[in-house]
Amino acid sequence: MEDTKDKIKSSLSHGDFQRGYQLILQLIKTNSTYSNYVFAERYCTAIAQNLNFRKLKVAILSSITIEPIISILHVKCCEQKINAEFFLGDYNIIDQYILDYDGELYRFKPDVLIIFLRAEERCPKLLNHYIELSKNEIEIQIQETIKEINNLLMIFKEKSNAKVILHNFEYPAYPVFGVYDSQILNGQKDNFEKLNHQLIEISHNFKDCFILDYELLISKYGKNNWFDSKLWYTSKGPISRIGFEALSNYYIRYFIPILGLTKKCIVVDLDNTLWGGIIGEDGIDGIIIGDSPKGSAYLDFQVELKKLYHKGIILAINSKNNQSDVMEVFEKKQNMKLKKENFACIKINWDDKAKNMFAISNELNIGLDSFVFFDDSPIERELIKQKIPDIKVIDIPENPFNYAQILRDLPDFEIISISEEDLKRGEMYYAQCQRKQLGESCGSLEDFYKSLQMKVKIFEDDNNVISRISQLTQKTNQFNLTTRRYSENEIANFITSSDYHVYSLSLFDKFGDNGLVGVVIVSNKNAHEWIIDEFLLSCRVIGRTVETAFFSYLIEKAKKSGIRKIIGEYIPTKKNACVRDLYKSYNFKFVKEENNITTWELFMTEAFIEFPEWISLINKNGD
Amino acid sequence: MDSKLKEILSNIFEVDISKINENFSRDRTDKWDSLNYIKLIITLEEEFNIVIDEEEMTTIKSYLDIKKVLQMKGIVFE
Repeated sequence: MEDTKDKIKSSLSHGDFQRGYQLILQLIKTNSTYSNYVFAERYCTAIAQNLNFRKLKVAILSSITIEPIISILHVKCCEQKINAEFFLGDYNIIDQYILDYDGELYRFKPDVLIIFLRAEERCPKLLNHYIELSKNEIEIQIQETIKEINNLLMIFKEKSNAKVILHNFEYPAYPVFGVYDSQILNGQKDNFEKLNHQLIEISHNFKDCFILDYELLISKYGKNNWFDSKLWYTSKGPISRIGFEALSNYYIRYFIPILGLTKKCIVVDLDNTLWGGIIGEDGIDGIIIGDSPKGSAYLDFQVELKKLYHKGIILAINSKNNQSDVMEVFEKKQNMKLKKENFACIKINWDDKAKNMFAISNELNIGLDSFVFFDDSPIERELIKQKIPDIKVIDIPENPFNYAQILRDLPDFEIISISEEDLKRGEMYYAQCQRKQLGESCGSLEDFYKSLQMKVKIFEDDNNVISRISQLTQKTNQFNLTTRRYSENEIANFITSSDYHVYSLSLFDKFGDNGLVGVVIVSNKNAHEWIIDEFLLSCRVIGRTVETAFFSYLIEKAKKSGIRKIIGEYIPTKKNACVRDLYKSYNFKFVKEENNITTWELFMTEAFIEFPEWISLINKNGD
Repeated sequence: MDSKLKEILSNIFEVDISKINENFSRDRTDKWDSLNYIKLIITLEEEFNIVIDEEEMTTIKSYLDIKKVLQMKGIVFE
């Protein structure tokens, strides 16, 4: 520890603020003691200035002693790359600062004014003399309190453009009627709720006046844990040590959206992040979501992500996996809360994740500093931290039980006002990303084909593949020019007949053997002429230029066999529109159209189709 | 424990650790104000995992006072 502190001092004295900053973050992360905060705070201003953090002048007027908390708040601002400067009013003086037009508060020129109200000082009767008040008097107390605060805000806003963060009132932890208070409408707690409700109403009278739900904050930690009687009686600082940290974090949740530092996108990994297990190894039935204790934690994480999505935060995936494995999970896995459509950008490949982050940033057209990166692998996190320091990388524990809570505790997705567009952002980005991908895939199609490392093997009149050929003629609907269905017998007859040739094609790529996927049957009953009786391709391999390779091969074959003309037919069905213009694209001339059937012809003198350079032919017979 | 205490005092009151000795006291330390005094109490409680009550707080005016309070709570100084 002393080592770290010495290193911090030494880095900063040598002007290496970046390293000093990283060391301070590390010091606080490994041991967030008050003493370390006090130490770190001394260097915040120098670091923030040298590293050009966003400036924020914060004035706090409070009815309690808040100074001890500032050590922590200042460091937390620095953590968020905020260069905070503070003005703290004296204990329990609020109105005087606001009313004094030439006073310190206005000379400080705050960007943000925090007003920390307490019922003890602002409306003590409602708290401690409640039992003595008539219903009418209670109402008057509430109205007067609200009116006073409204006046203060009005005066302040006339003088200053600073944004205001106004604490609401803590409800009495021990209402005067005890448990009976919960039995009645208009009890003490009810009236505090009313008071807080009206605070929200008056906040709407002013531009940039935000309510801080202090009551909610305290209730999260428990009122008895929050209150420190010794500190209250000795220093008028009633907040305990846990409150120091919690209140600081809560202020940060306001500073971030006020400064426009809200992150726009969270990028998540999949295996052991969105679900338990590894899809590539454990398979769709092996991975866990919901049901088991761990599975439930992953499910809760997904639920939190979905909430972010609906709040307008963009979701994206950056994962090393096989695309098809993952798509199967999205389509078939039970309990998946998130759908493919919830992700505006999906990068599933074997590239390094930093490269993918740049791609995601490009596709979504948002800056790298708008990203949060959530990945269970410490190695990937380290890679992103080192390669793209602008991205906020979340450090997470190994087990998933706190994933959802970590997400909830992040201040980075806070928004302080909300528009319809915000809520739809996820959807909009998804659509935009789809279009962009389409465009981009055209530009880089060749690279994509090359990357597939495709090899084809073409068979001629081969008895070994009869059953598969027959099966393809029976099943194939889309890439099928004539949709003639043939039995195994019929295929066998074509093969033995000298009037027909049966060609078939099998495809291999870097992922393995796709099997027999293409069939062409030609008849050469007329001399020097081929009529294409059947031309089909399995839908699994459509869009990979395999048909071009196949046809290019056949034309060369035809030329060698002394064929002068090839005739093709297209018989339209409900499903084969995708090949309507196939012959045209191969330079066939239109001959006729009868009963919707079009006939095309190609003279060998004009026929040339280039064999795609990214496909290699591996025929044994050396054709 | 002695060096830990000295380190704390040095940190809170921004005094070089070599200057923290038996003579170190509120009256001789510029930065011993009410705020740093509260920071000191919070730090002592957290670092030594103890609770210092109101009466004990009022006795703390010097290095030796602190040592006495800590020793009363069973913290051993060699």
